[in-house]
Amino acid sequence: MNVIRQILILFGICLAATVVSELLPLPLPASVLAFLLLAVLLGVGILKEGSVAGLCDFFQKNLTFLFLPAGVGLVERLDLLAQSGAALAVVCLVSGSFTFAAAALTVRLVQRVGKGGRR
Amino acid sequence: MKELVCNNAVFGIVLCALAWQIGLWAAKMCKHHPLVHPMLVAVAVAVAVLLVFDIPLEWFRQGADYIDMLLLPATAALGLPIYRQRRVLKENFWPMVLGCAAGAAANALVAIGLCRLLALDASLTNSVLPHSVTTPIAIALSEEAGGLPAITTLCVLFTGISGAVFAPLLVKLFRLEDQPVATGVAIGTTSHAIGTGRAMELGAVQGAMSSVAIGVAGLLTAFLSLVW
Repeated sequence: MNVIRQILILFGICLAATVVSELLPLPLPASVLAFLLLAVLLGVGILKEGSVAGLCDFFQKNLTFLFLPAGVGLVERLDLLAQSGAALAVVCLVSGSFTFAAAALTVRLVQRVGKGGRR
Repeated sequence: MKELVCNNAVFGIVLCALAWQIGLWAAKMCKHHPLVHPMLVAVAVAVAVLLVFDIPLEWFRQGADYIDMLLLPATAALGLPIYRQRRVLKENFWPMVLGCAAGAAANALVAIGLCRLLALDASLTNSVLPHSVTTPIAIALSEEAGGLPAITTLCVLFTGISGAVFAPLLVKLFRLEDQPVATGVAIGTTSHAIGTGRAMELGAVQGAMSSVAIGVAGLLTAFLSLVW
């Protein structure tokens, strides 16, 4: 695997996404655009899976570690966490439960409608 | 002495790598119990080291910023698993997309409503809003809206871990035992990669659907955030 070539392709996509994200009038993050761009380039066959797979799999495997610095920023927000941590936990739990229910029930509904339409 | 060791471009990277190793070890010691997530332990260890030795965050940042910089290509790399699962996505396109959309919409509505109810300020609200999407997208959305990335990271972690813990219970509650597609989409939309680990234990279809749902829900949430 040619690592530098994979870096060129993946970081090139990121660079393009960064530029487009700045030019777009929408606040769409560069990372989301880059993710979409990579999927599209692979999908239409401009890019072969093998020319990015090594580097992408490396990032995938170690993705969680990369958020560690962001998490450690918590050191500056400990008072905020002590003050609002419980409220944030409630928001996450309740909103998460509704998300699960809405997603599961919608999938079931669409599946039933799809089957009914075909038969 | 402290400045000599800690005020350079390497210290932050070493501390992160060390804290991560301790996190992995702790998770292994606890037989990979969902509540003992390596990331949770690693954050606690690194924060404790900075506090106990009274090390300025700027010193840590010098090295840690190099790791931060890799979040962009790492998020872009999520495009590959989506491409690999294109058959799963194609076969279940509408259930997947509409399920993720409904999940993302319910997530935002309930979260915004609760934040108002609990009188959380704008920066906290924007920090907690993207709590169900994968961390790199959540951090980007939070920063874009003026939230605090550290709080967002913690909320995402908390949602993922509680999703993994409660997933089997929710499956029973909504009678989804024979509905692998619905189960996978719901778990991926709610609790991203951490939940997906649990979905894979429930079955191959659940795992595949959940991992595709991470990307689809992340994307839809990003578009949705343009509206709110």
